[in-house]
Amino acid sequence: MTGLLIVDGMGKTFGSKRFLSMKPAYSVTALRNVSFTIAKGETVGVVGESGCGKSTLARCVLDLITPTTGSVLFDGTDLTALDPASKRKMRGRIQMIFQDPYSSLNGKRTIGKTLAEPLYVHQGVKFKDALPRIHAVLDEVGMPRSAVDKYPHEFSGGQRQRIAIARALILEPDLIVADESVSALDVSVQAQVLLLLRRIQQERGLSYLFITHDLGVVRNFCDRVLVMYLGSIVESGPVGELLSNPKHPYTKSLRDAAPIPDVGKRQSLALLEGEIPSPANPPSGCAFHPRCPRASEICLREAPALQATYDQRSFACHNPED
Amino acid sequence: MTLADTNTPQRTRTASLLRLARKNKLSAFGLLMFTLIVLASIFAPFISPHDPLDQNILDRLQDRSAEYILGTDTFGRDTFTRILYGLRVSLMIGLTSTFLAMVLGCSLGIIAGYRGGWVDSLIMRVMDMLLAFPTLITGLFIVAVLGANFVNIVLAITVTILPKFARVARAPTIALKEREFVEAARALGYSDIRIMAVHIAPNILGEVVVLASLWAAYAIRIEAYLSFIGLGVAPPTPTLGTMIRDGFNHILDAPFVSIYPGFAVLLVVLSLNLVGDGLRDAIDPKLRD
Repeated sequence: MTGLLIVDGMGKTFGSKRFLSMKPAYSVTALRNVSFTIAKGETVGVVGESGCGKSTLARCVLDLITPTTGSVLFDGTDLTALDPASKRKMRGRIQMIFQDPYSSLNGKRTIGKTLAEPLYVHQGVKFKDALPRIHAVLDEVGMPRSAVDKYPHEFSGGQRQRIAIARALILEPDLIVADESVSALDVSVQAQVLLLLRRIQQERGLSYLFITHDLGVVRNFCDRVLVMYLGSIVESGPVGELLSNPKHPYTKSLRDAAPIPDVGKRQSLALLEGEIPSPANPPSGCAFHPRCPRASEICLREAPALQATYDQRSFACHNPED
Repeated sequence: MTLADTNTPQRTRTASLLRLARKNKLSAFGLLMFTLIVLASIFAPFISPHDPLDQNILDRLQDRSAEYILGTDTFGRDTFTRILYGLRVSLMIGLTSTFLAMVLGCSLGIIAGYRGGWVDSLIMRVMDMLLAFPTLITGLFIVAVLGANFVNIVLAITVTILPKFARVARAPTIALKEREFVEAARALGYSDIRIMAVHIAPNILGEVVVLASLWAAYAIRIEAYLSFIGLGVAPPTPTLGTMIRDGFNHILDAPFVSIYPGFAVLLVVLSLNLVGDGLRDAIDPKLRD
């Protein structure tokens, strides 16, 4: 199966190279050798704690942040090697839905203008000619057509997120990167938006890179999942398999930390202690070893490589769970 | 799409303006005053029976009378008429230079803030250099070197207040470029120029307009300074500054020749400051003294 998106060995280091600066240069490695593929029509989830590099990953895939190393192959084209003009053209095919619908829409523009702008920039379509397509996309996300003349502040969070989805859809992209797109919404609205995203996927056959910290959402929405810890993928695989039988201790503790809505099934949990280490000063060996219940001596010295197992699964651990 | 829907943003904007006027009577008064001054200068030929350049040497240095409402100057020209025409020139210079400074300064500030890095350093260090000189000295220098005429005076005032606009535009740009709608614009493949012009500029316009009204008053004052020390628009064209200067020779025997145009400067500057203060309060209640 050839992937729509093939990310290979992507790394991102933020650093300072200040000219004539008195401060010493620092560097933070936000992503470390991340590789994965997304097939057409597939939904890949990315989970992990705050600060593990999920959002950096999303922005690197769109090349909003230029990755330091590695390549992003989208439909056979290496995005990182494109000149700025061709890159801008490609942008229409990968779209992003952001976390906060209150800041992802320009408050000074009407919804109509916001939705017409991509069509004008990429296809030279004038506002009047764009109107039928704007109406169509508003219908698709379940917003009234009268929204065209309104401003973002006249809508609720869930409605705004629908508008943001409409804006991402209007250029008919092949891949949508959703960065915590439902995290800011109420649970009931979350469900509506997720159903909407799934319906659109079925109708248009597009792929999602779905970034979240909510395992419940991943379980119901994604086909495959990548678990990230401190900038690296520590485990990946099909959702059901991975969550029912996690190999990496971090995946297991993530799963166990998710609340179970049934008092009878609750068990005493081995919750993780401590915080995610600073990416500016990562621990030696396996990045997870200071918090790992299964850490052994080798974990302090050597970072485990990601090893593939049966059935599309892979994990990076010296002492995997059984 | 009903009519009510289309009108909503417009209506709320008008309503908030009215609410503002009611809440801040002083600013509303300032706005009224400024409007009247502008109208008076535009319709000067219809208001005054005299010609601003018409000399009547027999009536020189007269105090107020029915014929000459605010008296006459050294050459027997009607002061009231000359104030009206002088306002035209002063307002033209003040508003043109403020507008130019706003457009250029904001563009530079937005580019500096959006691009960051060495572009930011380069632009802002040049602005700092301009700011390091006292405003009047910069203005003086430019006019003295290039010569005193309308274009050069506008240029001089523009250059002196441009860095202030650049600074005011840069800070919110840095905040805005981290907002998700700017990232969304980049994700949609918009060009940097488009992002700066369509997505950032309108969002900082409010703050900039407030300062524009305050600095327009400042620009009119600089014009008066420059004219007063003899670097203004060439006579006989009246400007408020040159009129004050002309009257200065007779400050002891006929003080009114300087005082009335001085009072006109005061009114213009005061009205603009009142408007600016009101706008500032309306936009940022935290700034209220």
